[in-house]
This record gives sequence, structure tokens and C-alpha cells, in this order.
Amino acid sequence: MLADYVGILVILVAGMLLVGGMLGAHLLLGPKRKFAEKDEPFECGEKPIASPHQRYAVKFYLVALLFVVFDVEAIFFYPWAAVFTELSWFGYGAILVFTLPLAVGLVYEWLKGGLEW
Amino acid sequence: MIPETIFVAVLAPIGFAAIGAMLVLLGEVLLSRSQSFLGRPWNARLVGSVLAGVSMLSLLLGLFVSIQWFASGDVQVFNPAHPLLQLDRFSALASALIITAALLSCALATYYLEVVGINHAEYYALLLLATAGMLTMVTAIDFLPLFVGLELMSIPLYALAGFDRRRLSSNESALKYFLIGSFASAVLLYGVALLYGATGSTSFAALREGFDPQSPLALTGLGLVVVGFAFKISAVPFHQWAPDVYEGAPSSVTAYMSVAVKATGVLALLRLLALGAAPLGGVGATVLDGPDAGLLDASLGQVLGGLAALSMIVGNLMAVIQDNVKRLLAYSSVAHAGYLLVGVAAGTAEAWSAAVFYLIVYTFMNLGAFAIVVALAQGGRDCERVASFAGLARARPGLAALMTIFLLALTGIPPTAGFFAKFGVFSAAVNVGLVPLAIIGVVMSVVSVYAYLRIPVLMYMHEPEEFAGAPAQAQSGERFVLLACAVAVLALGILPNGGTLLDFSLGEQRFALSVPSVLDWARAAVAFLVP
Repeated sequence: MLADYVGILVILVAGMLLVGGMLGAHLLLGPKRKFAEKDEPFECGEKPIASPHQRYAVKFYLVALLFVVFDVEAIFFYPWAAVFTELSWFGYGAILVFTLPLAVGLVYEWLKGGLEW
Repeated sequence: MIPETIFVAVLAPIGFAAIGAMLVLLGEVLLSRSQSFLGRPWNARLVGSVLAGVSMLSLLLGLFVSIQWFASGDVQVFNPAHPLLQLDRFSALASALIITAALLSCALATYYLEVVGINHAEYYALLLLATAGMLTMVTAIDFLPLFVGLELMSIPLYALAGFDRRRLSSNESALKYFLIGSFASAVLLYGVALLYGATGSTSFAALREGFDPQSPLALTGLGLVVVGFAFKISAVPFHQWAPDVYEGAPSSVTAYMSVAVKATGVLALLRLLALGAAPLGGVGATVLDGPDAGLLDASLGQVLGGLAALSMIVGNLMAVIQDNVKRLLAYSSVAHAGYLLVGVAAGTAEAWSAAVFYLIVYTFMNLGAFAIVVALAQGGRDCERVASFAGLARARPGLAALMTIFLLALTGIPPTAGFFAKFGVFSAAVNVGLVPLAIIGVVMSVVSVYAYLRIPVLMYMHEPEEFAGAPAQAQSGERFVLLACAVAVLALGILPNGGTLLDFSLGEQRFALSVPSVLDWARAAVAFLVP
């Protein structure tokens, strides 16, 4: 039973060897010269002018959250669409049961003002 | 690919709860939007009551279906080609119990939400969604719906714990519950994955054939699943979240959480053990060499027995030193998880019916005790300190008397139902030879007397420390819950086997108040699991 997973183990070990070997070779062979500009954060060759830790509107958070919810939910439509003809009306009914609570959620956040910027 | 037949009726209790939640959400936004057309705001109290009514109606429908199903004794799987959810006597009784707890919590919350200033309709929607998750868990006969139900139960509860979002401790409670709860879910899921790896199926029944007690993969998986359940029912050593979460969450949420989550966890665990773990040692293998045939493999029984012993000891000892009522009741709920696990670990049909009976009694006595805390909330604050109960018997004699009844029941003193509940569990444990567990349980019950009876002593024998204005009147919803819980606790304590409590004639009219045999219900439900 465990023999089925040998492939995964091989890939795991090979991956670790490859990455470890490349990083190790770089550490051993590469030249190391440090100077002030090199230790700065790299931003398209420009000098950073402010700290990136800034406050930003919480609205972004809400939009991101709603996006994730609906994006993940929408993914479930793709497999259904792929076998739509085989499932026919049963599949249609099932996806309606799935969509209805989603629609209720959308109506709720819309009327609640969650989509207003 | 397309199932030939599906039985939608199996989903009825879950569906009613979920549809109720959607109706509440839609109702709330539509009502608040309609204000601009009406030109005047709705009465917030009225809106709250209407939406509470909608949620209670949907719960009542679910309760009706569950009771019908329990009475008929039908067994039905949602999709026979791929059995995931099954409604039978056991899940019907479990659903009825959970829905009853949810109904009482709804009734309890209506006025309290207004007092503490969190009267939002989302409360009821979240409560109904959590209930739907719990119903899914107790209907599940497969790990996948079990996990989906667990998440559907937990995520609304995280939000409910932080529902009083302007209060820091409520936020703290939600964050702690979320972090620890999701960790517990992950542990359970990891266990499920390992069991799937060991047996090739996620069905509980597959453990019957596929589980190899020698395989470390399968044993680790089973262990992690047990740990996940222990987190949810707050058994020691997985209980640390309970006091903080119970203390910070709004009291009406704590009331619901403390009874419903525990009931769900124990009932789902019973189903898992009945379907899956029975053949670990073979049906008839004895637990700890007892005279009666146990259902659990000795090693699993010992693990559960160990959890039970630790929970009883730690829960009761820690309850003694608490000075906050909600923390005291939290540790008390840890201790009660221990008593319940004694019944689960004993593993006979007798012990399991005793555990189910214990859960029914626990639901009423614990909800009752929290309902007192809720009813005492004043001016946006909970009445949390034990010291603030001093002299309550003079200011609010009714509440003091009821609190005493509930605390006596939690201690396990007759004629309250708490006594018979404990008696059943401990005698079942002794019958299978788990004498040490029974001794620990009885000794710790004595310790708990000190923890619980401090409050009646303060209420009846001490002067009030400060007089916080005129005492508020308990509202109708709270009165209903208190009365229902008190009647249940006393009636089940006097007549645990059912019978006629009152029988008198008034003129021509004859009145009879009979108590149904709840113990027989528990037996009938467990008889389905363990024929």
C-alpha cells in the first residue's frame, strides 16, 4: 500500500537535492562582495522613499474577502458545466440548490451596503 | 452518476434551519431598506422579535420533523448509492435535542441582545446556521459530512462569540475560539486523512473492515480524530480554551455553545464508535475485563476513560477557585464532559443510553443556569462576579430559587434530574468494571458541591454588597426558558422513567400532567446504534 507513494518520495528527495545542490553550490562557489547599496531593499533600482508598513482603507479587506468567497464558490460551477448534459435536470436542480444560498448571500451584502465603495 | 433515488426528507431538519437563516438575513436587509420608503425607522425591538419568531418557527418545523421521525422509527439514507447522511431514531433524537437547545437559546436572546446593545438580526441567522451544522454532524455517517457539519457549526460560533464587537473581551473570546477551534478542526481533518489512507474510505462503517489495530497509520488517525472531538467537547487536556471563550462571549451565546456543541460532539462520537470502532476489539470484547460486554476496544476505552477522569478532576477542582460565574460554569462544563465520557467509555448499550439521558438533562440544567446569568444582565453588562449574587434571594427571590435548583441539579442532588443522570452513568460504568472511574466521579461530585453551593449560600445567607438600583423584571422569553428548564429538571428528577406527575379533578374537568419516559427515548435511540 505504501509502495504506491514511492513516486512522491522520489520527487520530494530529488527536489530537495536539486534546490539544496544549487543553493549550496552558489554558497560555495559564488563571490561575496558586500556594500551598502546592495543591502538595501530592491525596488526597481530606485531608492525606497517610505516604509511599506502603511495604513490603508479597510474596504480593501472587505472586497478581497468577498472576492475570495465568490471566486471559490464559482469554481464549483466549472465541473458542473463540464458534465452538464450527462447530469441534465438532476444536475440543474442540484446546482440551483447550491446557487440559491449564494444568491441570498449576494443580495444580503448588496442591500447591506457591502459593495458600496 | 445520477442517483436513482434521493430522500430529501433526510435533509428536512438541516434544511429548515438553513432556510430559516436565509429568511432572517433577507428579512433584515429588506426591512432596513424599506425604512427609506416608509420615511420612518422600524421599531428595532419589533424587528428583533419578528426575526426571532421566524427563526423559532423554522426550528419548530425541524423539531416537528425530528419528533415524527423518532416516533416512526424509519431509517433513511439521503442517497442510498453513496450513504453520507442518515436519519434514524438516533439522529432524530439528537436533532430534536439540538433544536430544543437552539429554540430555548433564541427565546433567551431576544431581550438580552437589547440589554447589551447587540440587537442585530445576524445573531439569529448565525445561530440557525450553527444549528444546521450541528444537525449535519449528528446525521453524518461518513467523515466528509461530519467535517462539513463541524465547520458549519464552528464558523458561525466564532462570529457569535465575538458578536459584542465593541467589548474587548468578546473579541478576545472570538479570536481564541477561532484559533483553537480551527486548530482542532485541522487535527480532526488530519486524523480523517490518515484513516482514509489506512482504510481507503471515509465512511464510518469502513473502519469496521479496514481498520487494522496494528497499523501505526490507522492508530495515529484514530487518535487524532479522538483529539479533535475532545477539543470540541472541551475534555481535559484540550479544555484550556473553554473558560476564556465562555467568559468573553455574550452570555446567551455561551449558554447555547455550552450545551449544543457538547451534545453534538458526544452524539457524533457515539455514532462514529457504534459504526466504526465496534470491531476494533470485536463486539463482545470486554472493557478492562468487566463482566458486561463492552463495545470498544480496550485501548480506546482506556483513552476515553483517561480523558473522562482528567476532565472530572481538573474541571471540578478548577471550578472551586473561580470568582466569575461564567468561568465557574465553563469549568463545570469541562467536568460534565468528563461525566459524559465515563458513559461513552463504558461502551455498553446501558452506558450509552445513560450518556444520552445525561445530555438531555445537562441541556436543561446548564441552559437554566446560564439563563439566570442572562436574566440578571443589567445596563448593558453581564452579572458575572460570584460575589454579586450576594443577597439575591431578597431582591429577586424567584431567580434565586431557580438558580438553586439548577445548581443542585448540576451537583447531582435528588430530586433533581442531575442525580439520575449521574447515577445512570456511574452505575453503567461499575457494571463493566470501570470502578476507578466511578469512584473518581463520585469523589469529584462531592468536590463540586463546594463549587456550586457557594452561590446559594451567598444568595440566601449574605447581605447584598451593593444595591444596583431597582431590580429588572425578567422578560417573557427569559421566563419561558427558566420555567421550561426548571420543569424539565424537576420532572425528570422525580420521574425519570415517566409517569403521571399530577392527576386531579376540578369539577367535571380532569387534569393529568404526565411526564414522558425520556430514559426510554434515550434507550430507543441507542438501541438503534447498538442492537
